[in-house]
Amino acid sequence: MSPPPGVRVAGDSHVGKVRTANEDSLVVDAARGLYAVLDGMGGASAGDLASQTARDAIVDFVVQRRLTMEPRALLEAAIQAGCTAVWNCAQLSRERHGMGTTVVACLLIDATRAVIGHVGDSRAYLLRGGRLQALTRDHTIVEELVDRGLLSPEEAERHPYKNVLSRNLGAKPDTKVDLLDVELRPGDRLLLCSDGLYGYASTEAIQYLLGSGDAPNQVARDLIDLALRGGGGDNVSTLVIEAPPAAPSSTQVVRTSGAVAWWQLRQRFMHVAREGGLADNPICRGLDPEEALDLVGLSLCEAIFHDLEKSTGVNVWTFAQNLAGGWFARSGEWAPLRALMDILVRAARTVVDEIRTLEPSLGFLLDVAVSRALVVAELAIGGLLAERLREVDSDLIQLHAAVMDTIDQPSLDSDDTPKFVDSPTIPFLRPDRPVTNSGINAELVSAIEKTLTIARARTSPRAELLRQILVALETIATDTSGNFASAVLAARELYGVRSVDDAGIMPLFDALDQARIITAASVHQITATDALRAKTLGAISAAHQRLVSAMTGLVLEAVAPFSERLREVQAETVALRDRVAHAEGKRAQLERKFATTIDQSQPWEQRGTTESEW
Amino acid sequence: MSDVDLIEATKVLRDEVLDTAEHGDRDPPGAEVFDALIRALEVGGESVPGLDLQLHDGITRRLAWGDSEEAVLADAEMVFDRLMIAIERALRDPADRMVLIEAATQVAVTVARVVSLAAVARAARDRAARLREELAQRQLKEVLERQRSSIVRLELETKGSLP
Amino acid sequence: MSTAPPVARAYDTLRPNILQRLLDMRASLDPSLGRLDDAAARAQIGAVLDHLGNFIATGDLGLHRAFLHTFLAMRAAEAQSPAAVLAMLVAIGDTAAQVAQDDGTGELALVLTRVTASTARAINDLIAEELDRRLAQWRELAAREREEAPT
Repeated sequence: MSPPPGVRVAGDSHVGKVRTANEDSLVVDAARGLYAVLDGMGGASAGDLASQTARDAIVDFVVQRRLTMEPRALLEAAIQAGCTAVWNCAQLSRERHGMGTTVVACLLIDATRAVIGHVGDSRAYLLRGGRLQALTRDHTIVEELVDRGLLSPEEAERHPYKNVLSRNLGAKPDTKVDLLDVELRPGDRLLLCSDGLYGYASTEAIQYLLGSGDAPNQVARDLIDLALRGGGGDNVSTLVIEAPPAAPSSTQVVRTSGAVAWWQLRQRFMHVAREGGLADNPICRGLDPEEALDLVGLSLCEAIFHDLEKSTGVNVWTFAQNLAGGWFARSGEWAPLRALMDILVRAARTVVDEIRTLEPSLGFLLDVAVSRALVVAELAIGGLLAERLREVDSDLIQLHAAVMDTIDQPSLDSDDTPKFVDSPTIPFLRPDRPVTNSGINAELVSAIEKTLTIARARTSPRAELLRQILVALETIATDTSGNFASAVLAARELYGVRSVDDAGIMPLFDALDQARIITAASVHQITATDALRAKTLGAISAAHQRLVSAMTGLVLEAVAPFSERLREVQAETVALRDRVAHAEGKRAQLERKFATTIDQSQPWEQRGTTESEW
Repeated sequence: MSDVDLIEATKVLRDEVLDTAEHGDRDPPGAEVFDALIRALEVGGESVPGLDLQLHDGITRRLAWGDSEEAVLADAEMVFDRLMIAIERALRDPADRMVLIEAATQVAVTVARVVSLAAVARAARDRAARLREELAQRQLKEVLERQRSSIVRLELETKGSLP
Repeated sequence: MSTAPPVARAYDTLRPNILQRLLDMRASLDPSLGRLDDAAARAQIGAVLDHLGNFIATGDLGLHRAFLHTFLAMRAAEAQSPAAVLAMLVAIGDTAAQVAQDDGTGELALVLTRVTASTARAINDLIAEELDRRLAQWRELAAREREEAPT
């Protein structure tokens, strides 16, 4: 099979800015129409090995079987072969346990048909008519829960485990492969990529780069640069497949004549910008007026020109991001940026209006294209604003937590600070819960006591918590009640009052682990038969297990109010949303009535009363 | 018995400890705990980050699928109890029993640590989520105010208009 | 800007086609739309299209902002970021313009593009206002923390 005529393909990969090894792999086999991106995972160099093993197995399978299988079955079986290969490889060594890889693969049947197969969270996108569409759904636990109706999309967005995979190649000997038939139209572009791209670049930016008229190899590189500028925290791989181009259309008119007409009036643009006070805007402070006009005005003018030439938005997008990003980085306020954009928009509209006067048809097409370019600028700025809002929210939440902790933290010296919760709030902590008792006699009790006495003697006097734990273990291990009470009581004594965070909780578990080690060493020092030592260790270990379980139960009890309060607040939000929705329904009805009764012969800006309440 | 023999002897206990007759042998409850026990035996019984990481992944996946921390804890307790019974029954040599008991206790403490950390992290997330809800509520309340103004204005504008 | 009444009427005539095109491609407008069932997606997209029609007819920026303010707040309560809302509304406007272009109603396509530009501008202003409010809240809380920190 030779590559279909007119189809262009290119791929690229980068280790990123944080990782030290690239665990991604690519397949670009134009002769067989096979393309794939694989993203390996696993410690040491296992991820590297996993993606390469899968890649080689998939390619080998397609080479051997492509003439005897139809495309969809071929791709599925090839990916399965990859899965089996990784699984088998993982069994050979303990260090490789847990290694795996994602895969997104495309088998190009001809210039108009392709099959996509994927497992994991590497993705396939289709760009058609300037719009980017995701073709694959990530195989993450959260997506699966949403599909099953067990989680709402809103909860999925906030879920802490939203990146945990539910499927990959290598976790099991075989896996379920998702397949999709794709019909390709002239001018379409397919993008296969690892999560190192979409995790560090916005969908809009990807859309604009993919939609630029640049060759696939340039686009593949530019997408990687985009991810690196966004942080580059992961390996990133991109593969661009371009269907043969469409026939010329009105877009071509704008690309050629429109772009030229626009550029010819750039001095008019600059004049209007100058008259509008661009150089006096705070963003241009410190710049010479002509310098300001060049750096800002001419840059936008050029960006629009290049975007008109290529029917893309990438240049205006980049201009707006740089302008707004630089201003926000200097802690700039919104008002000057809005004022500056308004000056530039007025300048752009003036140029378009002049072209419309001279050449109505061309001017009309240009009006649409330039308006579109200005939307792209707002989109880029909106992305930065939203990012800033997210950062402020995060700071606000952290600060709120710190302030609440400061206000609410009970004084540890206070006599009226409650030390115990009288009744357990989770079933696991019920004191009357029966526990397995292996039977205890006087000899065993004595051995337990001796062991823990030795353990306490080996413990530093300053390690108060550890000593308390050893005392608690003795109490629990020699308890004959057959229920959980002694463990719960001991755990509550040890837990006391502490903050519900890592700093509050971890010292407890560190001390419990130390107790485990000291106890295991101490039991070998008692004078007893091997059998008695084993029974003693068994009894103390059972006590240890109950104590850590009870401790964990107390942590769960301590965190329960956070979930309850969240549920209450969520219910309040739902009620509020209903009220807003109801009011909006009424408002929309009235607005419709207003719209149908308004005098539409008036100029658009003069119809109705423009509200000034804002 | 040798380390290798003990590991093999322990693996044989899997069906009994995890009650695969009842739950099937593909992902029965507590499987991640038993697998962690085997790894603890393989590395020789000292605390190692690798043990925490794989057990952490296993517990994380269970929590991600919607199991509660309490359920994970209860399953771990059940595995431990059944293991103690199985050790008593299946291993004659007290030295072997002690090795296995030590490894089991190590895993029990690790499970408790991982579950507690997960619960504490969840509490932090819930608190942050609650604050986000309150911020969203404030926005919605502002919207309600403005909607009222819009409705009043539109009612005035459309007064006397044809329906 | 055209003042011709036919633009609003042309929009009303084309609205069913626009709605259907948007429903067909809703997953690419926004992933959250892709997850809604047909009825819910139709209601949400329909509400946006209804308002766009009103805005085309009235030219009233105040009402337009009021609608967008409500839309942003409702989506924020569903954990949707304002950037995603902006992208979705721009995509809806672009698609509507494309349908108008395909239909040969160029004037409507231009109006829709201009409306999309107004929408994007208004949304950014609203995001900036909300950002100012949150910053003020942060400053107030920071001051409180300084006052109440244990000595």
